[in-house]
Amino acid sequence: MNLLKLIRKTTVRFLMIIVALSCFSCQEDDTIVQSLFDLSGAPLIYDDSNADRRLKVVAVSMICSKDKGENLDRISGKSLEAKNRYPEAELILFGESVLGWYIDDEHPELYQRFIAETIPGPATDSVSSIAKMLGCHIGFGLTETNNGVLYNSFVLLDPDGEIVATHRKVNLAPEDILGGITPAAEIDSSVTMVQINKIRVGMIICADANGVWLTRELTDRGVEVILHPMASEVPMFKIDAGSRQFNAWEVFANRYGNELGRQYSGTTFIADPSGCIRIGDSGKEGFYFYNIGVN
Amino acid sequence: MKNYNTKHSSGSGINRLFQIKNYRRLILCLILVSRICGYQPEIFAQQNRSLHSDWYIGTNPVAIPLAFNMKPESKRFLPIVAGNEYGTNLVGTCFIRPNQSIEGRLSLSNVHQVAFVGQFHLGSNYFVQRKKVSGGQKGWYFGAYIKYWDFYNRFTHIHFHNIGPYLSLGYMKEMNRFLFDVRLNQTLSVLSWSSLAYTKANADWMLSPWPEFIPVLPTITFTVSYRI
Repeated sequence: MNLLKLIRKTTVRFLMIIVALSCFSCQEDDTIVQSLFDLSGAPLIYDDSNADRRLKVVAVSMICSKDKGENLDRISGKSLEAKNRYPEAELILFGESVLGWYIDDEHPELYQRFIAETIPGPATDSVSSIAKMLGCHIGFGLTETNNGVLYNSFVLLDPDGEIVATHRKVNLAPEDILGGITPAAEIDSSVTMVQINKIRVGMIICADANGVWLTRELTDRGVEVILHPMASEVPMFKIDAGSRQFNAWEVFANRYGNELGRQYSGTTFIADPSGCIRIGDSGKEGFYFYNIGVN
Repeated sequence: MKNYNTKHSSGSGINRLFQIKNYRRLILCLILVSRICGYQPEIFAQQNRSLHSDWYIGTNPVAIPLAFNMKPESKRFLPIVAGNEYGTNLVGTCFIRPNQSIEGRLSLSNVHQVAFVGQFHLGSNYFVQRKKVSGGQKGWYFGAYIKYWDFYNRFTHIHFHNIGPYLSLGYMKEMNRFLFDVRLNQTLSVLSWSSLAYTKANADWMLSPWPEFIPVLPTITFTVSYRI
């Protein structure tokens, strides 16, 4: 009987201790792992009809070849097609590392070095001339080489063909590490924000969205639109957790197709700050235009 | 190409119709839950109902580690077997009849470094057998609950409020004042609103938070409670 009482007392104490312990969360790691709650709930209705600042954006989902020259031709062709379809477009966004495959699993680092470009360099010069010809911003991702060091970078060119910003990826994916990519340091200069049409536009690349530090820096600076080139296999969700995370519009541009067994979904969309996806699709190449209104 | 723009043109008749349809979904689910809650099977009516109430206080032990650092895979999938509860959680159960209990569940925790989720569940369980469950026996039950959760972004200070009904099917066993409970929960629909400016509430079916991967995703909850 006494033994039973002892077991009872011990179990109750144990329960009390674990409840008390759980009051203290311990999540110091810099990587955000999305929870089921990030995607739960009904899509909200966000009204931007009376917004006084606007940005007309086209997000492009594109198949990438292993050959850099072919991809540069595709970027030119897709930019022309995007502008042809949506003449009012002010910004055309392509995916992450679109000068080649995201990863060549057979020779990851060798391949990244082979397609890497300096910034400015021949690739940015080529896209610069298209941006100037079309009179709109163009953003695209590429592997950058700087004194032999590789970065996963995202370049934004303005309608005059000038490089207005270059963002280097801070939070690397395992594929980046295999490819010999170096992460950008968590310092002020790694936070990339530009002003377009008086809108604060933040630039991130793929897994940067999982970074606590970068999220805090961008939200503290009041980012209003996030340009988010991506190389991802994820399908399209009902709710965009990223725009809720940053409290900003999110323009998400991804690649599509098979690259040595890796099937990229082509999930590309534009979502409002409530997380509601305004336009987008998955499973194909495509152009997704939206007139973003910032309240 | 899916274009969702039409849903957002506020003020139009089509939009109002769309919203009414969404609210109707939620109301239908709420009616279903309230009908289950109000259901009095005859088999229970024939029993001598005890005036004595049994109170239990407990916790979901599987949810507690979710407040701490762990491997991304565990962090992503463990919530499915933790009833989507995270960290600190308290469960209060009261048997108002030998075969019927009322239960409240409170869970408060950071779900990751950016978001804090506070959730409260309230509902009732009905035992499908004649045997007395509280006071040393066991049984299968089904339950109907309403849960409210607030997804709070700690960086932007924006709240995303949600309320939704769910159904449960479970098994409970009492041993030496301890009540062990395992159940399957299935959320039906959700009504969401936010503190974010320029947003309106909306309702939708929600059988899974990941319908793209799994169209219907029930969660599992383990609870250990102590009779007080």
